[in-house]
Amino acid sequence: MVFSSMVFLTIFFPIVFMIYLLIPKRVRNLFLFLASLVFYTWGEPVYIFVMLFSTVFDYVNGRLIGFFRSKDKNKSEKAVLVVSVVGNLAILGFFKYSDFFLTTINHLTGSSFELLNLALPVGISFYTFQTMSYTIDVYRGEVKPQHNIINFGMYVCLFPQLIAGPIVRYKDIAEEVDSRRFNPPEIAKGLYRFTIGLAKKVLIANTAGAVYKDIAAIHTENLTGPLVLISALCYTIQIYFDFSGYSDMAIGLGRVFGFHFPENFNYPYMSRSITEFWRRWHITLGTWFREYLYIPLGGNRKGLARQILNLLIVWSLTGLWHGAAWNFVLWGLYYFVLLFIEKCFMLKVWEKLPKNLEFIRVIVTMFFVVCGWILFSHTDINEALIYLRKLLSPSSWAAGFNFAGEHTSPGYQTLYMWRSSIIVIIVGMFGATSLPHRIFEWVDRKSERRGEKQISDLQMITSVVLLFMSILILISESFNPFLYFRF
Amino acid sequence: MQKNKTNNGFYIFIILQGLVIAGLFSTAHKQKDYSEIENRTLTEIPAVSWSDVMNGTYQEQMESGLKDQSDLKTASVRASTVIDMLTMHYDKNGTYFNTKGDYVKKETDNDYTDKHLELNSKIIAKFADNTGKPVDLCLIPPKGSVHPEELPDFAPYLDDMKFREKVFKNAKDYDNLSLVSMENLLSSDKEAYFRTDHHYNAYGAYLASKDYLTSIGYPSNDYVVYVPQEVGDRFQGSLYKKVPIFTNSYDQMIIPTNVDHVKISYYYSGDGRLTQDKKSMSFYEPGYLLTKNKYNVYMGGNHGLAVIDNTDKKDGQVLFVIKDSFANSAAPYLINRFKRIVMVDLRYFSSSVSETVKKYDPDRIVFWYESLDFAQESRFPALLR
Repeated sequence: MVFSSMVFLTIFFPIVFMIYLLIPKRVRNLFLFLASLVFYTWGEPVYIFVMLFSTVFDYVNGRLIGFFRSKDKNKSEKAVLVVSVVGNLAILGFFKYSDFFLTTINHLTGSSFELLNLALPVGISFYTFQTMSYTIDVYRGEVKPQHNIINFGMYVCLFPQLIAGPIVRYKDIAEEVDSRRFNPPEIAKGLYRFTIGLAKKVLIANTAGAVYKDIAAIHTENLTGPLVLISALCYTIQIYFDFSGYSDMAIGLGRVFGFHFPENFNYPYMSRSITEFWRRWHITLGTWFREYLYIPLGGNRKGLARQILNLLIVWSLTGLWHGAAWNFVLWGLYYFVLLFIEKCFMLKVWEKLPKNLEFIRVIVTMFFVVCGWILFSHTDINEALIYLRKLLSPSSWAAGFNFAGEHTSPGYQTLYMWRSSIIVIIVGMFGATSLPHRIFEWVDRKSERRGEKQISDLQMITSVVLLFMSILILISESFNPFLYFRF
Repeated sequence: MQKNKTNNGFYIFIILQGLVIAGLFSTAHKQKDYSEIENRTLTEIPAVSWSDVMNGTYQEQMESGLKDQSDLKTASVRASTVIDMLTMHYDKNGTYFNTKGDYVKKETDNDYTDKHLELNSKIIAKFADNTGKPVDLCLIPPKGSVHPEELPDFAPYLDDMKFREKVFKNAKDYDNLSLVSMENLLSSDKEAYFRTDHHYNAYGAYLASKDYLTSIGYPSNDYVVYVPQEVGDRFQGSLYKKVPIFTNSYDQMIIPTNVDHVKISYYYSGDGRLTQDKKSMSFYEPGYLLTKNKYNVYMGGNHGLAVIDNTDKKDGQVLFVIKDSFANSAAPYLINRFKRIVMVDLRYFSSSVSETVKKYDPDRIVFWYESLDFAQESRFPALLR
């Protein structure tokens, strides 16, 4: 089940909300746990057992670490931690990467190992990382082990963030697992955030995605430089609004039920460097890799050579986390190189730039981000390289201005796609900045009802209109892909 | 402060009510099984079945059912099309549309591959060799090639000239294979295609027939000789159904009434056997003028095999037509030059085409297809069985 579906919007959520409202507090965690299982089973009736196993596995591991700590058995604690990490990575590796490794081995050695053709359990990359973070934090003494398996199961399976994040560490919501607010101001703010997220996904991301799909259908020999640029910009917009929209929906839903999930995006397309971009994009993933991999490896505390190695490991795995294909690894390594260059000298160069020229930094950063998305969006690396070549090739750009033959010319095709996409590109670029938020705040400042505890008239009207439009669009279109769903 | 509390409560109520009402639009009425406007069977909200839940079918049908059964569906398609137009996006569901209410099926050079086109040409050449008959390729240019003014500004479209050059290049090595020039249709001085349907209209069918008859050495009558007449009510065709926004765009069915008398035998083909379906003494099935599929007034739509005997002619040639639906409206203009026309539609024909050719022993064979349909056809290998 996805949030942007009629089943979720018109059946599942209203029913879950009404029941949650009416039942006693003491059974709410159990109810949320069961509702989350229904949510997950709807989309994954077979592999729910993998998630349940992962849940029980790390519940037991957490309890064992706590037990061994109480007995001062440090080695046993460590052993359980290792079992937990290895076990989770094994589950993830088996379901997500088996065929990737088999294909690579077959390709390199000429062998013909049969592929397993396993379906990827939905959300496995997210919930395994979540449960791993739990046992690691228990081991570090940052959280106490959760003794109530229902509460722990609710944390792991909680439907708002189950299948596409944010990656919520247990310590982020440990207190709220046991006690949280469920009141009109929180529900209203949560619903508002949810409707904004839904609109971002359905109205902007899907529209940009439709243009991207149209261009992707063009044979590569007919592509021109401008068409590749439109395609790349539309994908850039699609992936941001798709993923941040989903995160907004997840955070909004979490808030409805009293949970405050961490933010996952902070206007990443306003970044002035790649370093800054990765502090603003998919924040919870970056935090996870920093806290549980980069820093334990030594971070930047063991000299430059070790830092470079640590960055290489982290970024290779970041790429690989996104998908079981070499283009994702290449994408990760692409960012490793850019970050390395920045750390070596580019950041110092940027800092010397006057403040009124900082927009140059944003443009340059976005150029590299957009090129990165071209790598990311093509599992066929050759095709990605063709796109990149055409983007940067003067002759491909010249072809885009060839209007001979009118409707059959590449120039007409380019103009048509520009015309079809310019509004969504402008809206997307505007929406990706903090300007809409600042405009809303400025308008709200004038409203007599402004305050932290209530939703303003402007927010109400915007939310209702966007929800109505989103539902209409959902009904009308079958085109409703979800990019981060496959992770 | 009381006002603030009302705001939150009111907002929560509105959102939840809105979601529930949206669901009721799909569930609070008897389920619909068919959509007239979409011309297809609608998915119904399914009953729960454990096996369907386990294999995911139930979930898919539930989601499709909620959308298909929604009373908001037509309004939603219109709303999304309005949004498309506001964002200067003039194609939807494989259909171009412009602000004047013209529709053109979206066909571009990306919809076929040279490899598949060449393969089809080679198969047909081999088929021609096998049958020993002269074979003509009558490839109907798509609407946008004939009426580019009806395309939205800058809309990319199939390069029909380049397409024909490729087909000609493939065909020229084979003596018994020829490509019909469609110059009359391509240079049509008036509307040759329906406004809201992907087919050509009666005049377009006449021009295509004229092009074909000219290419094989037959004269063609003027259009008025066929006494074209309007029949039935105005209608909105297949392309309108994909983008049902321009409610003022209509077409009128016209049929040529002064044609030779015919006796038509229809057959359907199942399990490799031909079974007679029905007979008719006319090209036209007026009953279809009362339905949404008015184009089926020509020969009742598509059949596996149709044998058209010209009862006004005792002598003459036999033409064998392998076709898509474009040939149905051309047949009335062709019949007066032949004593018999045999029409095979590969989509509904599972018997041996070669054996059927042997049986009817035509003087020539023509492939009558819309260009892109020809390029995309995957059933041609059956010709060699």
